[in-house]
Amino acid sequence: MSIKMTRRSRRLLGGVAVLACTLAGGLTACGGGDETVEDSATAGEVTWWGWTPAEEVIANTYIETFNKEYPDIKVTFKQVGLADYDSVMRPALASDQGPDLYGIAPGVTFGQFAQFGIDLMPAMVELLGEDWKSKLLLTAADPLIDEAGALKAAPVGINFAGPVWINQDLFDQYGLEPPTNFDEWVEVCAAFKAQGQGCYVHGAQDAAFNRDVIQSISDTINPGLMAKALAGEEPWNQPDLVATFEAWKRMFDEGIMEEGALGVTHYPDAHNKFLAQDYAMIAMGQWYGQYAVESILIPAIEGAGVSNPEPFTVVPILFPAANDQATPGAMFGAADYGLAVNAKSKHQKAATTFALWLATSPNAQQVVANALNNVPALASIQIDWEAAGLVNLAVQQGPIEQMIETCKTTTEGRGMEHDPAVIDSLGQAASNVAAGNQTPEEALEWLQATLQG
Amino acid sequence: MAVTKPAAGPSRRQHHRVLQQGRGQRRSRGQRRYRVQRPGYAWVAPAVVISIGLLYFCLGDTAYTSTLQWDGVSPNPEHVGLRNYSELLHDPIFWRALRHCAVFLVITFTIQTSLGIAFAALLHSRIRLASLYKVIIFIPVVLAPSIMAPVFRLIFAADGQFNWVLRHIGLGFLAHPWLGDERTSLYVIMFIQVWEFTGLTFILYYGAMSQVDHSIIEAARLDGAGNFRTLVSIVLPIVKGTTVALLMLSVIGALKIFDIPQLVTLGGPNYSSEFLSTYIYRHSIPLARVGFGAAASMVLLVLAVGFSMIFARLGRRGGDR
Repeated sequence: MSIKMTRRSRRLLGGVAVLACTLAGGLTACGGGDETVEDSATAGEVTWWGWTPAEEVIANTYIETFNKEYPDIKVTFKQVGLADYDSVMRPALASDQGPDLYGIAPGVTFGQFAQFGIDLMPAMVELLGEDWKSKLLLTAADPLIDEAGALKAAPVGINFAGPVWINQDLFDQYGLEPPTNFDEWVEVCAAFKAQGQGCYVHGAQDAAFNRDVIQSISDTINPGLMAKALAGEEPWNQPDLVATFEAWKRMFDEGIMEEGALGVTHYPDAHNKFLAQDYAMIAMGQWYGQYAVESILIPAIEGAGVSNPEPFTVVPILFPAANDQATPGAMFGAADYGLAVNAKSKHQKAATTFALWLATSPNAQQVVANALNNVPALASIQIDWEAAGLVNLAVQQGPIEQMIETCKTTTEGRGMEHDPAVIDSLGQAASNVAAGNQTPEEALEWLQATLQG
Repeated sequence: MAVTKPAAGPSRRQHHRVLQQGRGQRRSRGQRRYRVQRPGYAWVAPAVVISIGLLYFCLGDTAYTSTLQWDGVSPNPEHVGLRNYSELLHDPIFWRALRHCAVFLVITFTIQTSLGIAFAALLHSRIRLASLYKVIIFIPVVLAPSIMAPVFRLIFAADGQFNWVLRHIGLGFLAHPWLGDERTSLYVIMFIQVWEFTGLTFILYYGAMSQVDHSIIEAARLDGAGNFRTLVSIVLPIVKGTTVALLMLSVIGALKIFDIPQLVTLGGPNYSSEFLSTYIYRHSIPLARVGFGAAASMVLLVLAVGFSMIFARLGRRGGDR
């Protein structure tokens, strides 16, 4: 086949080439426009991507407070769902188009994404002094420091799992007391169901939240044991963990878990059902305190699909004791997230200003504390309960305050640092036991062989 | 009919010469085919760049990645040779996912094809409101799975509308957490697939049946064939090409299906609705095992291409007959 180029064709081809060059030039000019922007610590536009705060109203409160001190730095928050966070951040950070600031959690996320952040240690030392770590809570900073000693993210706050949150209004309405052990829990759920009210909702499709509940059960039986098993320091196939899995199975068999829990996600399904008051109890970490704040709860209820949302009283209780020898209560966690500054950012100074302001400024940490999404990293900060705006201060303040004080002294980890395959295997064992495919003993033998064999 | 004597043809030698000339012409045409004049390169360059750049480069890159132990971002991936493939073939979840693909293919193809043929045949007969029925059958095809997935999650939840209906028609004993039970989750995925894509099967058969010569149908009627016999013995063999094409699409679709299981069941509970694509995603993204995921992707590619070739050959063989 021969292609004969007429004069007209040549002109057309030439025109296309000129158009393509013009477009390419224009795009290059657009893309390269930022290169001429001077990086300043007090002015600029900064993008911030994170899975938390889950409610944008909290992030916007942080930014509004920040802009009172730094009016010339514009921060734009983009909430990326937890489930999609890794898949979104990997290509974003590998490219030149990633955010200026990004949230980073200890453990696997830190292992993957810390390399893209700058070292914030010099700036932190300059702000808080050489003994900066002593001004933070125990578990806030260390998980965000890499092997070379670089602080890759400014710690904003710490987070703990372990409690169960209840809708106190529903308990009062049906004249029920929160359960302190599994026998009472079974009775409470039967009573709720007899009234046509859902009792405890859990998204057992999510391995990470199954891990939280199983670790809570385990902690009531033998505190710290499961954290050690996750770290490979204790075998899985031992009696206290068998008892843990038996209690987990009991939740499905005796009507504590809602029907079909294995097909439900914790976020958003179970979370939305709790906010819609379809269920009276849910296992969530201390971060769920944010829904005790009326200004955060109302839009969240609307987001759960409820029209004309009415606030209700959310209160944490200790995780019920799993058997006769167990003690109620469990708490485990670490740094929730830090803010990392992207090494490819053209606004590193402005981004660093915001990250360190949120982590170290008493004003910022007070806003963090009052939002009840995190326990603030700065140890000196106390919650201003009047300013926080709880739905029912008299009922909520005591239990939430007690929970937060426990968090501040807890050192047991949540297992975030482990390979995701460990959590995946644990999730598989948990599902198999829940579905009756394996006995607790069989599942734990399998876990032992898979993870430590 | 009069039989006429054939005209005297060319001699064997003449015939040979003609053949030689023809071959020569073909050769010269073939030679010219590859001789593209210089300005022509500018025209074919975009297509070459796109096909090589986007397709073959990505294939090569995935094949290379499949030999790495890599989380997708680390600057120092470890070369592990064929270890990912070995691990893949020893993973029972991989084989389970493949089984699900096979079961999914057999059941959804059978039901979709049966329904597609039935709807197409019915709507070729003179029925009232045929246009409305066509629209109703085809609408699910244009609805994005991402829109419908939350709806189906609600419908098949333990406290969902499907169970509500069952309880209100006296079939409460069948009410069930359809998505939360590993015995039923795969069937819910199949149901959604059939609901969504029967419209496409229908429209293809409807178009194919429109091409059937009416005189053949009338001849069958004259020979005493009823509706069913005409459909089975006359129409279906004629539209066999459509069936083979749909089978090929269904095989590739079963190997590639991702959106519905990922959005409705996340491949669970306990991998009961895991497919090859959700398996690849789970390893590549949440578990950050990009090299292992790439190895599974290469297996998926080989299976898809292999099956396509088999069915293409079957289709040609059927056409030759």
